[in-house]
Amino acid sequence: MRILIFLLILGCSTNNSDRIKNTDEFDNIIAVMKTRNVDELIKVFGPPDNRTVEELSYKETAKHSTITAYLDKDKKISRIWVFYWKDFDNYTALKKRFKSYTWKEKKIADNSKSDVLTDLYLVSVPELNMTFEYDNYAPQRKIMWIYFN
Amino acid sequence: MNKTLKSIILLSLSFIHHWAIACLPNEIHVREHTVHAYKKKDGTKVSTHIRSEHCREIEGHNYFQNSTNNHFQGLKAKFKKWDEKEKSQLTKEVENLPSWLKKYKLTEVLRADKQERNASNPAMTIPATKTLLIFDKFFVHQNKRAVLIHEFSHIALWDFPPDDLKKFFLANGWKYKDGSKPIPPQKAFKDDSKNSPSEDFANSVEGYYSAPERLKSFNPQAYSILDQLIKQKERQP
Repeated sequence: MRILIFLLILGCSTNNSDRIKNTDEFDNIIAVMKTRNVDELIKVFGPPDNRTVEELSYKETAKHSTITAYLDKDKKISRIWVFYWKDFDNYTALKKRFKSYTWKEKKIADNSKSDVLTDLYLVSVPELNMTFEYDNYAPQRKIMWIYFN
Repeated sequence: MNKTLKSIILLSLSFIHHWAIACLPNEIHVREHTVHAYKKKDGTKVSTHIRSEHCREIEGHNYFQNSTNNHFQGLKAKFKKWDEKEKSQLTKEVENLPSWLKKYKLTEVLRADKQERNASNPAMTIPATKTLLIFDKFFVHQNKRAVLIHEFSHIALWDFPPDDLKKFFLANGWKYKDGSKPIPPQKAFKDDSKNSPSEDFANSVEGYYSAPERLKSFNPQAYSILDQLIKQKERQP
């Protein structure tokens, strides 16, 4: 039994360090954005599901969200768009995930004429050139776009 | 359960970052929150703890309320009492919704004279709490079913898979290239579709049922994607 516990702990801790090093999609995106290199993107995320002259897109998998990388004139990655949209409280998850970074949040004026009540905020994480918008009145505060510029 | 086995399971779970909590149409998502110490009816003391996010079944769904305990930031409307005739009229219209939309249950249906910032709105939705507000304009509207399809679509939108929604929005002309808010299409099915992807989606679903030919000819590709999305939802138990 002790051996089983030891192996389980070892397995879990190994998996966890792998996750931190390799499998967290945000670490991967941040690493790719540092190089802005398409080859690096493909190395990390594999071949895209769809590719055009201007963009490479990936469908959602267990390892990453729906992702689109946009290319500039020099074929370098100019920005990555993540369609986050997860089945948990997206805002809280991101706030926990990026707690070691500067977190700036500002209220956005709502469309007061709309037939849907919104309470919108723009969040930016300047160190990562990351921005996203969330609606406090959206179920699970699902986030449609996170940009890494 | 064996104590050691329990510890192993708990330890393993602690390494898992997030659980997917897909709430059903008849459930509501409750965010992580602090539960303050209290005493149960049987006298058991419960200490202050963090209750993690979860889904809660909406009991006594679709019921009418004359007021609400919720405080809705930014909502400008004065609630009023329901009239019995209005209640039965609305119930009848809800019964007449497409089957996949009818699965969405509301926590409360409120009544007000008008939306003070836009008196022409017949109804309003607050998706997170699954609240529906009905204004006077609703009862003189020519197509009440279309109004409800539109409002329920604002709630249903959040349950569609991201890849499918992305495909739909791109086909409808939304651009996500600016690094800021999505850029609306130059030409939209309805003027207010440009307000947000959510509004565009609700207008499209409304059009799918009340003006399908017009929606199809306006953008055949987006229509075909929406058609697939709705048919998938219809097939779900």
